[in-house]
Amino acid sequence: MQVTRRQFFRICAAGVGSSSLAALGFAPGEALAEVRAFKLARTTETRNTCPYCSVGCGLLMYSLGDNAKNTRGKIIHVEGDPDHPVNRGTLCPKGAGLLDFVNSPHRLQYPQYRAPGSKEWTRISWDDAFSRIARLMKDDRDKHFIAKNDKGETVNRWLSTGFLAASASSNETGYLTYKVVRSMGILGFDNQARV
Amino acid sequence: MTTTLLQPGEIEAAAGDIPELRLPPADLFLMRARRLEQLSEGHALGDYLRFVARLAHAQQAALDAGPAGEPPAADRLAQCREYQMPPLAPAGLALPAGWRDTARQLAQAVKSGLPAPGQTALEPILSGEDAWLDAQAVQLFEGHTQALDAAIAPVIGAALQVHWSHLARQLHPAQVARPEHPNLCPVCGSHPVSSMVRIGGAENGLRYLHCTLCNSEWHVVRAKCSNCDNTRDIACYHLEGKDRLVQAESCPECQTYLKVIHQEKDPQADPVADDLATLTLDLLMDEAGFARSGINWYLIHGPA
Repeated sequence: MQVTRRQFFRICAAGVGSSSLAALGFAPGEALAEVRAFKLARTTETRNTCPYCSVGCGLLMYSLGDNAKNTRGKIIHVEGDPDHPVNRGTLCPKGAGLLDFVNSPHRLQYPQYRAPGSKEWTRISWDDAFSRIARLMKDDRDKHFIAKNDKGETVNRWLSTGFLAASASSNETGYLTYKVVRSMGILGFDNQARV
Repeated sequence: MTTTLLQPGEIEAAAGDIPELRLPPADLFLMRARRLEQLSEGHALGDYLRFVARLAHAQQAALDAGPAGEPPAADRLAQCREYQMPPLAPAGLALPAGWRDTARQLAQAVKSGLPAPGQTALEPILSGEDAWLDAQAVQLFEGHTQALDAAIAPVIGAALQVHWSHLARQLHPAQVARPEHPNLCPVCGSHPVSSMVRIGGAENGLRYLHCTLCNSEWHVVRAKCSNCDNTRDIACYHLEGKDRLVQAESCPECQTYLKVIHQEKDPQADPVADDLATLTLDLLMDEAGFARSGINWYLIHGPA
């Protein structure tokens, strides 16, 4: 008796001819002919975590495409993961709307800039975006950095800039956020989705 | 208007523990028979599904009659639980008294509706020696499908299902241990037929594997290979253009699949009946290079 490992069972067209079906006098012809009328459709099933907030609800995501070259995967269904201890299959309205969010044509796919006082967003390159952010941060830090407090103790604070990171980040992302932000002296930073 | 304040514990209870084991209900074969009759309408395998429905009706009658058999004694159950072994594993039990009578009753009940070759093929059950019948049962338990007489296997299997379901119904889920990697039935150690994502109550949305012998169901998380525990690149296949009630969940690591039946798409779906009615999906999965990790005793396949 096998109790520790699984056996496999091959079910193929040739085997149907000697199956219970045929041995009991039934004709398998129609069932075998039907096979030719169908094709398999494939969906990938993946477990993930909702990105919206720090509750971290479990998700099951279903997508088309097989990761092959020249094909683009498409998520077709998202539902709460019934096995996940946090949400047991439930999702809040934001999480329940994830599919539309993922497939939205209005998703931001490149950096945009709106000048002070302007109503227009203009597309800029990633290099321009990074340069501009770095420039503004450096200028502000140079101007407002507090190296020592009133008592002459070294504090190295930069209080005039804050930092908001993502809520569903991994531990590793949290570690990097902390290292980058604190090493510049920023004290005001948070990871949350209550906005 | 009154306001109800949630008290500590109320939210936790709602999200409570996952029911790990579903033991078979009293009317399982009746439900199966009705589902088979429903599925047989206009089906390419309609005649065969109607034959299996008659077999399932006969199984229900045999179960209702109260077959012989008691589960192991309390100390044995406790021992199995401690070592995470299936308490009703056929290897550890004698074949139940009266199982051959059940097999003969079932054969008698379905025989008249069969085509002539089928009537002849079932004759060995009615006239065969006890030792030969017992040997057939052991071959079925051990999964030696090539060595089986494919014509009589469904009836032998059906009789064993009646007796083991009767035994399983006398257990309480708390008496059965859950192995760490439950790819075989925690109650009797047999293979699954298929799996089903259930609806309603605490089981809503959870996937249960259905045992081919004792008809118990055990929980295995979704999007995970129930054979090798892989969770990467799990792919579900269904017939293009048909509904997704029955899908084949396949694993690229071990190249096997098990069907997942989504009860939310049809509340009357049955893990055994709907598996049988989707033979086309099996044949296409074989062409795609996947082996089947579940077995359905109602349709034993011969050598290729």
